[in-house]
Amino acid sequence: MIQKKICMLGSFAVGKTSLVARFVRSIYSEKYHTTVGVKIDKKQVQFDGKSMNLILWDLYGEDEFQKVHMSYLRGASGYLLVIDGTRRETLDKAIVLQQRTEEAMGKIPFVVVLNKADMKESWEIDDRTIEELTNKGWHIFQGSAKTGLGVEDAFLALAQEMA
Amino acid sequence: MNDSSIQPVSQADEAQAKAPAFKGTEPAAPAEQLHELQELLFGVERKRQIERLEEDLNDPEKLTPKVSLVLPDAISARATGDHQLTEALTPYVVESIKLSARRHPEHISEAIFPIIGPAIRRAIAQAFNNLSQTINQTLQHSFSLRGLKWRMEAYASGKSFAEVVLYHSLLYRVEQVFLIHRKTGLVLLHVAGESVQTQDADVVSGMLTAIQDFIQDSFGESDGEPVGSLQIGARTVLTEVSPQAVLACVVRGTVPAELREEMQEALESIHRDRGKKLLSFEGDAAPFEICRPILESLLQSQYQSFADPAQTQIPKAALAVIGVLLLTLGLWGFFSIRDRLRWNNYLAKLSNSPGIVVTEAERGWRKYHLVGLRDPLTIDPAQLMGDFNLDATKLNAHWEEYQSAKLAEARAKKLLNPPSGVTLNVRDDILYVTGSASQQWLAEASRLALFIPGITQFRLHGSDFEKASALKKEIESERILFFEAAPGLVSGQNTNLELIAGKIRQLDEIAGRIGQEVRIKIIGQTDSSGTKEANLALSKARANQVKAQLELRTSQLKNTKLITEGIGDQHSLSGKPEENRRVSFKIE
Repeated sequence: MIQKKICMLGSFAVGKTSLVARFVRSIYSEKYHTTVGVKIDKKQVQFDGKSMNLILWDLYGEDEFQKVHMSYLRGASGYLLVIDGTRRETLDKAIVLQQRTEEAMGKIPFVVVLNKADMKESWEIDDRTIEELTNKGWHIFQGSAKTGLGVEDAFLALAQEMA
Repeated sequence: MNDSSIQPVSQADEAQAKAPAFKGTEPAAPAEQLHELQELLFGVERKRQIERLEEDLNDPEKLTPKVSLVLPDAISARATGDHQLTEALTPYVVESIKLSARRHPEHISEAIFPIIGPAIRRAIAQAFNNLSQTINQTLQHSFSLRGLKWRMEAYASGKSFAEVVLYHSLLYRVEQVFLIHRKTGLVLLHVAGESVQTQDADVVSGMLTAIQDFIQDSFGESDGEPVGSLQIGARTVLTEVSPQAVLACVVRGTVPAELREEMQEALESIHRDRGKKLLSFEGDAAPFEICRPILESLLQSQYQSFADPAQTQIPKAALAVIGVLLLTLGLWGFFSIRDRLRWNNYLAKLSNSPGIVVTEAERGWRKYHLVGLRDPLTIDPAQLMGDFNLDATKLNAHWEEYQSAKLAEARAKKLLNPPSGVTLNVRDDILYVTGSASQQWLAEASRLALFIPGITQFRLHGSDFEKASALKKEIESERILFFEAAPGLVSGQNTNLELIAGKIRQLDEIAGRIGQEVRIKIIGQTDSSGTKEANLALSKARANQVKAQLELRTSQLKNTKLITEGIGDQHSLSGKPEENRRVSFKIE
């Protein structure tokens, strides 16, 4: 079976870990985030009659105290960029992270998950902004840790792009 | 022929003749001159030879037979040097065998048939050898003080004693080996020792890589040496790194020095075999399956030997303690077994007692517990304990009251309160009443009895009623016969009268006991000869006579009334006149 390393990036507290929690096979606790800065989970996706193992490196959310270890990105075949729809600054941070990742890794497939789709009334990101990002080539999914919306689709889209 | 033999001379002369043309310059060295001369003489031919060789080299058809001539020698010469040729050929040989096994399995089975038997025998012998080693280790520690301590540990941890022995006598064991793609951290191959608990190798491999990166980022130089080992409790993770791959061994115990060397060799070997695949790795780990034997060769272990007899000898104090322990255990066992037997016998007795249903029985350390159903009329379970030498004060019983059908008789006795002389028996759900009782008691008893669980019928058995009924039948079957046309009795009738009188006396007595009155009708009859009036009078006279005779023999009947009736020849039977001259009885 083909395996691919993928990374999950985003600002601090955008809900990355919660978003994928019920979709991945996990053996490590979240304390690894605060110690090593990464937690590794496994996700299997199937498409076109094939299976692919995604080894998901869930990177600690970047904030003013801790930067993402860029060395963790090495060897990744793709990445998930997670944004909190209710916090505009997480989008700005995502744009910076995406640029930094592209500088380090070159152009590799990535998908964007706009989290907290279940709280859309409190969103600080409007449809126009989303449209602009889509036009920029960003593949955006609306997701929710609460309802599980969009997560499978995001994984599948990323897997297909990497295949 | 002569022309050709002198030709070189003439060519040499020609060369000499040309020599003055180089006048004024350094004369050429003799070797160079000779070379020049050879070039002139054989140049064309050599060129042609080189062309022919090039042609041969470029044409596989011509080259193949030539290479085939030297190939066996070449292989032999290379194989004696080092193992590179073997390692280079191994993957192809393996693939060829696999292909052949798939296409023509019969050829393979034919080829390996002579070796498969010895191979199996050897494997089994090896397995038994390992097993006996484990048993030896276990036995060796079974009776030592250390062994006792380990036994306690095994008991506390829930592991087997053999496992604990192996754990403590373990010097080191390589439990798992990971081959990891260095750049991505993806696992290429993972092997684990027998009975080693493993987590998802893909995820562990990733985390191992992340930790390596983390340590290197945090404490190492940017292009510094990779982390060589990590110590986690009793385990060490040894890593050996190449540009494309990481080989990680999880070792429990003290890492032997030679292991790292073996890891290096293994990694080099993997690089030789699969170097290109490592470079072009895109997530498919299947090509690395071939490296499994290399990784498995690293799964080694070594156990400590405790063969020193001084260590295994048991001190006398320990022997004494063990002796006391064994004695205590023996005594405890004896009393425990004796108590258990008594308890079991008691339970068996209790379960067979009517009116007791035991649903739970437990013999605790200090108490006996019993739960069940109990009919109040049955035996007292606590009292019964005394019969089995069990301490009744230890009994903690909870009984639900119920009415057992098996105790119907006892219940009937209690409820019906039979007068003295009356016995009650229950058989097949029928209550049999024997003896004498008043009519009133009988009426009440027959009504109440049917309310008692386990009684469906009420039956008088051997009682006064039965006797009275029998006497009635007997008396009614009696006949007193007379002479023709006279009230005189035929001979022998006096005895008969005595008999009947006796029965009447008995009946009178029973009637008194059961509170009833008896009316005995004495019916006189005649044969059909004579007139009706005369016959009627005669029949009455006969009845009166019998009455008088009976009264003589049964003085003071208290509950019986004798009445007479003459019916003449009303019921006379034809053909037997002597039979019709009689007195018969009817009891009401």
